[in-house]
Amino acid sequence: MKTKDGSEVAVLLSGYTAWAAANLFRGFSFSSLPLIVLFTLLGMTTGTGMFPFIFGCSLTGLISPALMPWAVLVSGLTACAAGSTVKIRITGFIAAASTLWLIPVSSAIPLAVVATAAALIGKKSLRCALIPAGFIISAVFAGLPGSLTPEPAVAGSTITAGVLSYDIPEVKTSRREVLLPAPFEGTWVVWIALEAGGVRDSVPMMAIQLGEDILFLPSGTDTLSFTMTPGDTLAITLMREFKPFNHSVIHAAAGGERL
Amino acid sequence: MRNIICNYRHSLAMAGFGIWIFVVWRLAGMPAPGFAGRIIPAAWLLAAILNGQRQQGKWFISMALSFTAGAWLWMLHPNAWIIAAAIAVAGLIAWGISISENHRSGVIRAVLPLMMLSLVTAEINSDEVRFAEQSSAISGISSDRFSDTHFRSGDISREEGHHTPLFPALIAPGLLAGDAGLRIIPVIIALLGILLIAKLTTPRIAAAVALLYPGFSIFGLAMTGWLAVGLFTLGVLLPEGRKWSAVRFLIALLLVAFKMRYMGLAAGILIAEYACTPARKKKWLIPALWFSGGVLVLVLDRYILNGTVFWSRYGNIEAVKLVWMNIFQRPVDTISHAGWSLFDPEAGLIFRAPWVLAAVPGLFIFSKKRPAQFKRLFIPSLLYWAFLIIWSGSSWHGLPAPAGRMFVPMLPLFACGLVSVWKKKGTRILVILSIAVSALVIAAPTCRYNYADGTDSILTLLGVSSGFSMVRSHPIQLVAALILTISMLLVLIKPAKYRALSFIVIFTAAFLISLKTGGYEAEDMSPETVQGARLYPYIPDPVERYFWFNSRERMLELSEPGQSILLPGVEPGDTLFIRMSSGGGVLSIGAALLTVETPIIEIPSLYHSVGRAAGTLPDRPENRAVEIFAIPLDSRDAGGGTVRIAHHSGPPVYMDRIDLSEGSVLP
Repeated sequence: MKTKDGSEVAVLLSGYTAWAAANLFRGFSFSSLPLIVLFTLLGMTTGTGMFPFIFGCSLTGLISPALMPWAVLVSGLTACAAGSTVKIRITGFIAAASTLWLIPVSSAIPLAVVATAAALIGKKSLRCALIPAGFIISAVFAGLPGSLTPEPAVAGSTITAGVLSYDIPEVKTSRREVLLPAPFEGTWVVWIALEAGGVRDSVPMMAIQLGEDILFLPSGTDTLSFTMTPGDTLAITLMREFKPFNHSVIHAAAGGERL
Repeated sequence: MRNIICNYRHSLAMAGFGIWIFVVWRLAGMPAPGFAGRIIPAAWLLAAILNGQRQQGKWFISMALSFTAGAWLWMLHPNAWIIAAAIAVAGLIAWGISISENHRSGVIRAVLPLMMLSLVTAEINSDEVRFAEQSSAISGISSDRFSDTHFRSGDISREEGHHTPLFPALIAPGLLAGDAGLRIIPVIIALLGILLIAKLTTPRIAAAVALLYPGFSIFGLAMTGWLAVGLFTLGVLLPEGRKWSAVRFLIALLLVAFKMRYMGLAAGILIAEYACTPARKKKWLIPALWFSGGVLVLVLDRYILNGTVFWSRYGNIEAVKLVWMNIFQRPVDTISHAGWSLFDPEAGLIFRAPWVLAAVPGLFIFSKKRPAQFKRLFIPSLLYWAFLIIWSGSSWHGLPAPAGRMFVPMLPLFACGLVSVWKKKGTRILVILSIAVSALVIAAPTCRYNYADGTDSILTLLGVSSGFSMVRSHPIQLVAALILTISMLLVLIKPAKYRALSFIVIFTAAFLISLKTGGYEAEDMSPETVQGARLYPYIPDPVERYFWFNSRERMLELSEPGQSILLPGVEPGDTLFIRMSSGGGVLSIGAALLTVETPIIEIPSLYHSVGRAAGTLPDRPENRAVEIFAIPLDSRDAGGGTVRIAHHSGPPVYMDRIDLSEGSVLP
């Protein structure tokens, strides 16, 4: 979608208003600041072929706070690579840079370097090659970045007629730890069935921890039993890092009864 | 060899991309390599075979790059891989739409890869199972899983389902191939439907409406929607003339025989047929007399013959009474249902199929170009929608079966609107948004379904919890959505004049969707907050809540020791406002105890006229009034920034919503 001259201001104002409204109703958050840069970039790309893409990213960022940093980062890097003017490329660089602090330093440095270079280099083909190269360098030498939400997931639980059951999400590289809290009242016998796989060796791939007790298990099927009291939390942790052609995953089911 | 490579280089590129998806999926370690990691590359290979010598659009390279980059980002968020997979699927949809014009059988080629994906990702739903059981019983073709009939909510008996037997009989031959053959006939029906729409419009439009919602919701599934589309479109395509009028009459009868819900569509076909006859004096008097006569016959049948002639699911004249009630006794509710049928995030037409907005201005152009066909499309579609809302009331959405399927019979109308505006830029954007919806549904099959509880599966996937919903919002909020839609239509009709408005409209719409009022809805509470407590009713099927007089939202049940809610962000001096009901259950809230007793509600006077006045409502959680309890918290209750709410004794307590205020006034 290309727009005529004069629409840039409308786009900018719409974006800023949306940002302000989001902060007004959801509460102010520093992490929403990169959205301002993104909306600025959106206004500057008005009338260019890049506009629909940036526009889609803007909407994603506005709707989903979880995906916002990635929407800003991808938009910024795209603008660095494909921006027709230095102005757009610099703004793209600022957008990308504004989210880099959210990403682990090891990944952020290569991306920051290529974003800077792409913003300043005049030759488009070189710019377009630089950005994927940045990602590859980042992935190969610095490893893939960790999850944006490092907090472990908490398994949902239900108690029906004194029988406890947990609804445990998959444990995988994007969700490395799941916690199973004990009910806040009573003593419970909890069993847990684990099925871990997706690796090609027998080195321990998960840790099961309750209080100070910890158990390391390789891939395969295991069933364990514990006694839990209020305040106890059972943790299932994936110990494997990313490796090509591996799909490390732990499936678990757990339940219990009140003693 | 060089010639072959040169001629088929585009197909080779597609095949190469299919292999690339397969490899990158494994190289990057994306989840679900055994299923999604195989079927999506397989669909690309199939597309490469069907592509022939046709060229892909400029989108191909950007899509391939986006997928490649996205594949590496899956570790950053549990759902990021779904976005990457959806990018690859979106490419297939774009390919399908782009190549459909280029060959005689282009439209069939275009939809086959996506149909394959739709069939393997859509779980067989309960309606399909019921159809299969009926098919097995009617035809005698025994199929392992479907050889016995089971009772389901809404059925008349175990043997007699709530579906008419014609459609099950039609799909029965497929069962000769066993359980997996259930969808063979529906696939053929859908393909015929697409061909008919292609005849009515263009192959590209036919491919688009099949691959986008609402058509995609049941694309190839054993449900009646595409059959209705085919029959309806056939009626529009038939030439003028008395003998063809007889065929249209037959089509109308068939539609009702296939599904009672198509009664509105059938009535519309007949009215349109009459409307297309030459104008004369008192032209509309005769049908009015026919209509009155029909009602009279139903009344006589019900009260004189005790309903022995015209049996129907809701009991003859009671069905007419229901229509009367919904129009004249609760018009505001009916208008509200109509509004939500357009705007609700879970099942509304526009949310899942934004391209329909672009089709609306196109209909004005179409009506001027082909007025007779417009009448034959518009009147039945409008009546179908009106009948759906008026007859089904709050259950217009038909959830939990695939969301959006209720609008499938209106596809031919919207397709004709789309054909006139296809090349406009605004249309392109809305079509791209619609492609994203279909692609997400393939990548995350659970997104095909919803439970009418205010938690839309697509928004949840994107990490959005919306307060704008048919079960949560006040109907007055529909006004905002209506204003936005009108603004959007203005932009689409006069883009040069209102272009700048479009950004404001879209941002405001995005903001509305993402807007979540403070406080905690029972369905949205995270496992960090809730421990041990279940949602009531225990199954999410909205049919369980169809006849509730209160709110139709699910409630959190606190009924035994160990179940608790641990609310964060609480300080001494705050006040909790909890919407809940109970027959005398005692809650412990921090250090305090609270007895919750709310009365059983009285049946609203509106329902007295349908025989619901006899007796009182049974003592069930949904029949107790949900009241707001204000609980001031002191330092003993809100220690450590949290407050624990737990069941202490007595009957269960059911919570709908919790709000937290710094003062003593409900925020």
